[in-house]
Amino acid sequence: MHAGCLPKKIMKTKNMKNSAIISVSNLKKYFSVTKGAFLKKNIGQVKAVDGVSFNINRGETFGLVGESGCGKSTLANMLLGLLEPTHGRICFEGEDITRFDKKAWFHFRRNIQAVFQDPFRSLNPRKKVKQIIGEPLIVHKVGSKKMIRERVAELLDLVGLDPNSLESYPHEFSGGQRQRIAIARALSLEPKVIILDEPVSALDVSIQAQILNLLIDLQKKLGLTYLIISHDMAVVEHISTNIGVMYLGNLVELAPCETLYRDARHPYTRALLASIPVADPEDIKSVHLEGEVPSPLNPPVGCAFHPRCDVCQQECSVQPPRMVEVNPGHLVCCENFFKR
Amino acid sequence: MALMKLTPINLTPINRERWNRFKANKRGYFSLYLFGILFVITLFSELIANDKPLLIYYDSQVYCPLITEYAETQFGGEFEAPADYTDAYIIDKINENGWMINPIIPFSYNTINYKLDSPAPSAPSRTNWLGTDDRGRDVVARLLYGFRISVLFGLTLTFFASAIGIVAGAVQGYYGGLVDILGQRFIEIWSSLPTLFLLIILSSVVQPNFWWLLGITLLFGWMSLVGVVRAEFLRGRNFEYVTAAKALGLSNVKIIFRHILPNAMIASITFMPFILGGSITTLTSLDFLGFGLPVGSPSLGELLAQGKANIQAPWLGLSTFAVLSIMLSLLVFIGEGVRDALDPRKNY
Repeated sequence: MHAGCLPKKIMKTKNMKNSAIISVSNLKKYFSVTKGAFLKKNIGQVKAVDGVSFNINRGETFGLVGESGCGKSTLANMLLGLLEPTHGRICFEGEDITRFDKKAWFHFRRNIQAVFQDPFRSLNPRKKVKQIIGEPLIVHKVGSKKMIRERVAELLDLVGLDPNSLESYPHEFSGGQRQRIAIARALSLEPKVIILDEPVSALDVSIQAQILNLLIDLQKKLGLTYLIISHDMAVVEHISTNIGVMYLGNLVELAPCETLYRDARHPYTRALLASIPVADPEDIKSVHLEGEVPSPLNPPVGCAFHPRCDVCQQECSVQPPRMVEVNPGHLVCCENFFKR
Repeated sequence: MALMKLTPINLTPINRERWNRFKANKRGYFSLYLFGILFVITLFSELIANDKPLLIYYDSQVYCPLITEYAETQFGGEFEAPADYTDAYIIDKINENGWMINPIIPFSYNTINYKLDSPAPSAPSRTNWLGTDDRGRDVVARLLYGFRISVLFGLTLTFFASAIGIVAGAVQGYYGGLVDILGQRFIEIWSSLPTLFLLIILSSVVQPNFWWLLGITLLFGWMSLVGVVRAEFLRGRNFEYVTAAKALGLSNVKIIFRHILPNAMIASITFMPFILGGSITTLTSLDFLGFGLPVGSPSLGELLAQGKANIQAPWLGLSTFAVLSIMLSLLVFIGEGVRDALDPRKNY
């Protein structure tokens, strides 16, 4: 695994216009916490995603990082249409997908597919490989039985599995191989965007690199756009072109990968970066985060990060900070970045 | 070995292992085997116990009275009426010009034996092996047909009750929320109704036949599987592969049937032999009380009631009791075998 971000040239593979394929603006998802079965007394709201905006350009890999519970997966589920946003828009090639009805969603799904975290749970253990990978093709009525079989074999080859393993069951494969099956399933409908929800965190470290490299290869070959969700900074660094850092439902920093690792401005991003394990223990930077992530039921007033922030100012606990563009393409949600 | 032939082919390895485990349980396997034999035998009750000959050869022509009805005149009789093969006159006529093969038991379930030595219910004899009931009908024939109708009723009821229960449980568990709450409360209320009394009231309002009775018992019998299936779906709807299927655009119906239902099937199948036993008991008790199958139908419950009314004729009660208890015990043994064979703790 080479450290550092992807070279720029991947961004410029075939038919690449530098236009946004997905554009998320002011997206919110609130879950109301209720008490009682019938009366549903509202006792609070979890702001899982609270006003997130970003663009993903065609052919790039957008990394989304943050601690567990910060709303990464909620965001992904909204992009996949599994959850309905409370507010905001998600535009895919200029079309607002949050307004789609059931039928439009069905046809639209071919454009965005997903690979989930745990390949031991995301594949139905009772189905054969050909059924797992062929299912989306059958559902979307793509071709005859024979064509589907051929396509599945082709997909297996594409993800580096034996095309003859059509009749095998998932339990006959290792974790990495299972994740390859999941990737083949996601690819079967030739989507434009693939959402990778922690695609390697359930895998062995040695396998992680293989899967990441496979994903990079596939991106080059097929011109895919990725949204990768992870809490592993090293994984995101390896594959992403742009990175968004989330904290408690908010996007706190958004920057091209290289910039983020070189010049992180938000104190939370810095703490995250410092937490990456390094080979040389002498090298450890002493940025420690104090305390716990606050409860999303009762988030702090002002900047959500202020109780744990080491550069916290008085106004941080009063006024929520605005997104500021410090450099082209580098946005930080912290008022204090230039004071340091 | 004859027993080995029962092994079904084309099984997935895990199902083959379950089948082997079921076979290893000698009691359950033997019970299934015996029950199967009994059921198959009673399926052909018409060939075993009937007041019509199986085959008649008359005037170099073959007749099959089981399938078509022949007039007396065809065998040299005098009337255009349907031939009565128990009539000595007709028997003589046929034997003059050919031969006929009679079933082992020359009585159907509704044949009245008028040539009894003693008043009905008459004791077991060479013609009526287990005696006759109080209307002179052969007990063996009635037990054969009664066994068949009980098992057929039980199987049909089990099938429909399971189908409805599985769908209801699946819908409740999969959608959850208000559907689940309302469904559960409805089931709680519905299952707390005094079933037998309602069945009796309903069967006295309508004149029940097989299908009416099936419908009425189904009304209160569909709830047994709801609980397990619902629990399985509450668990299954959060599986990641279900989320993946949703993201692929699968409809809810397809997700329910293709992805979650197979997980609930093991629990359901385990319950089915017990549901079958329960259904048979329900039918028998209704028949016993006189609210079951129409008068004259062969039914175990009706025979039991006769046994109770005629204590002086113990062959009625004892033979029916034996048939019922053997049938229900076999079903329980099969159920236990199935339960142990499908036990997921033994899989890995």
